[in-house]
Amino acid sequence: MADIITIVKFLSTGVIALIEVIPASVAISLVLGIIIGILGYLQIPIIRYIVSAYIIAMRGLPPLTLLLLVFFSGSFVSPIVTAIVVLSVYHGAYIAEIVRAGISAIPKGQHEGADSIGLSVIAKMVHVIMPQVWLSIIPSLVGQYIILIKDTTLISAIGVMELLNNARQIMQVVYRPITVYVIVAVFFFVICFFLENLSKHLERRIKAKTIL
Amino acid sequence: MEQEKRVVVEFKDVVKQFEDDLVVLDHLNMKFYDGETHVLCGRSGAGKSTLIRCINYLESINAGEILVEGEAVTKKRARAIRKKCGMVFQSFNLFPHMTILENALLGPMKSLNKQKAEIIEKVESYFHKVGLAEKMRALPGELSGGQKQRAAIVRALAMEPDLILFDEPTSALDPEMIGEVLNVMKQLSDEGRTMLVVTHEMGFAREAADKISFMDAGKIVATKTPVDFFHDPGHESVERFLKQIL
Repeated sequence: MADIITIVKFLSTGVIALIEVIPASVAISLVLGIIIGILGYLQIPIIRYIVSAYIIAMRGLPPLTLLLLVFFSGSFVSPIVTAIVVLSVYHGAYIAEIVRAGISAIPKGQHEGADSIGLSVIAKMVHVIMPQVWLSIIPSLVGQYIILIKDTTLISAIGVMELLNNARQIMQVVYRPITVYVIVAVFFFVICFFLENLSKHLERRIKAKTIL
Repeated sequence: MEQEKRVVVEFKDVVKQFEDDLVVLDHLNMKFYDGETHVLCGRSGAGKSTLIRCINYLESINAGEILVEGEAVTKKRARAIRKKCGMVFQSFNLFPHMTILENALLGPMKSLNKQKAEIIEKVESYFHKVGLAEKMRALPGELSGGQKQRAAIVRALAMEPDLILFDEPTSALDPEMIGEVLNVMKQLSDEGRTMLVVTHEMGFAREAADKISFMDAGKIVATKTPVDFFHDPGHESVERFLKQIL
C-alpha cells in the first residue's frame, strides 16, 4: 500500500504537465479549427487549396512523427510549447473538418434567410449559422478531445515530464510495472469515460432541444 | 396611369440558365411599379421563383440586366439591394435558435446598424399587426406553420423594405393556415406596399393584386389587371391554366 501511495504521489507531478498542455491545446485547436473550418466551407480561391493541403497533411501524418519532427527541427525550445503547438495544429485539422461538416449540414434556407436580410458573411456566420452548428457538433468535438487527451501520452517521447514519463521513472525505483501502468490507465480511462458520458448527455439534451 | 408610377424593378432582356442548359428565364422583360401588388402565376417550372430570387441576387443571371430602383443587381451590390428588398420564403427560413422577436431584430441591428431602442417599438407593432403580439418571445419551433410565416413576414417588414418578395408563401402550409397568412398579405397590399408575389392562390390574386402576370417557359406571356386576367385572359395558355386550377 505504501508503494501505491508513493507511486501516485510521484505520478501526480506528471498531471501538472498535462494541466499545462491539455487546456491550451483544446483552446488553440478549437480556435484554429473554427477559423479553418469556416474558411474551408467558404471555398475562397487559393485559400481553399491551402486549407485542404493542411488538412490532408495532418490526416496523413502520425501525430508521434509530427511531434518528433517539430521537436528535432528546433522550432521551439521548450518541449511543452512543442507539445501544445503540435497537438493544437494536428487536432485543429480534425476539428476544422468537424466544423466544416457542421456548417454544411445547416439547410440552405438558413443561409438564404440570413442573406435576405442583408447580413454580411461574418454576421451571418456569427449570429445565424455558428450558433446552430455548435449544438450539432458538440458530440463530435468531445470525441476529438478525448483523442487529444489520449494523444498527450505521446509527448513523453519529446521529454515532457507527464504521466507516462513519470511512470517509467518510478518503475525503475519500485519495479512494479503492472501497478504503475494500471494507475496511469485508470487515470486516462476515468477522464475519457467522464467526457464520453458528458458528450452523450449533451447529445440527448440537444436532441430534446432541437425537436421542440 | 402606369407611366406616373415609379418603376421599382426592371428586367431588361434577362436570361437565366442553369448548368444543365435549362433556360429558366428566356430574354425576359418586365417592369414592376411602386405601390403595386403584382402576382406572378404559372405552372411549376415556369421560372416564377427564379425570377424573384434574381431580384435580390439569391440567383445570378447569365445575360441582360435587372435594375432595382435604377441600379443594376450585381454580386457587389447584393447586400445593398437585399437591405431594400424583404423576402418571404416558402419554408419560412426563420432562425430556430432565436425567438421570433430576435429574428425580426437581427436584420435591422446587424445589417442596418440600428439600435434596439430605436426600432423595438416599431417591430413590436408589426407583431401586433400580424396577430403575434403574445408570441414574440416564442422560438419558431413552438409555433404553427401559419404563425411561422407571419413571423417571417414581420422579419421582412422590420427591414422597412421598399419592396417585399413573396416566394410561394403559403405552399408549405396546411390548408387551414393559408387564410391567416393571406389576410396579412392582403392587409399589406391595402397599405400600398410594393409586393411581388409568386403564388398559386388565385383567390388572393383576384382580391389583392393590382396586376397579375402569367409565366410560361421562362417568359411572361400576359400581364393584366385581375378583372381582365380572369375574364379576358387573351392568351390560350393562360386560359388553359385557369381552367385547370379554378
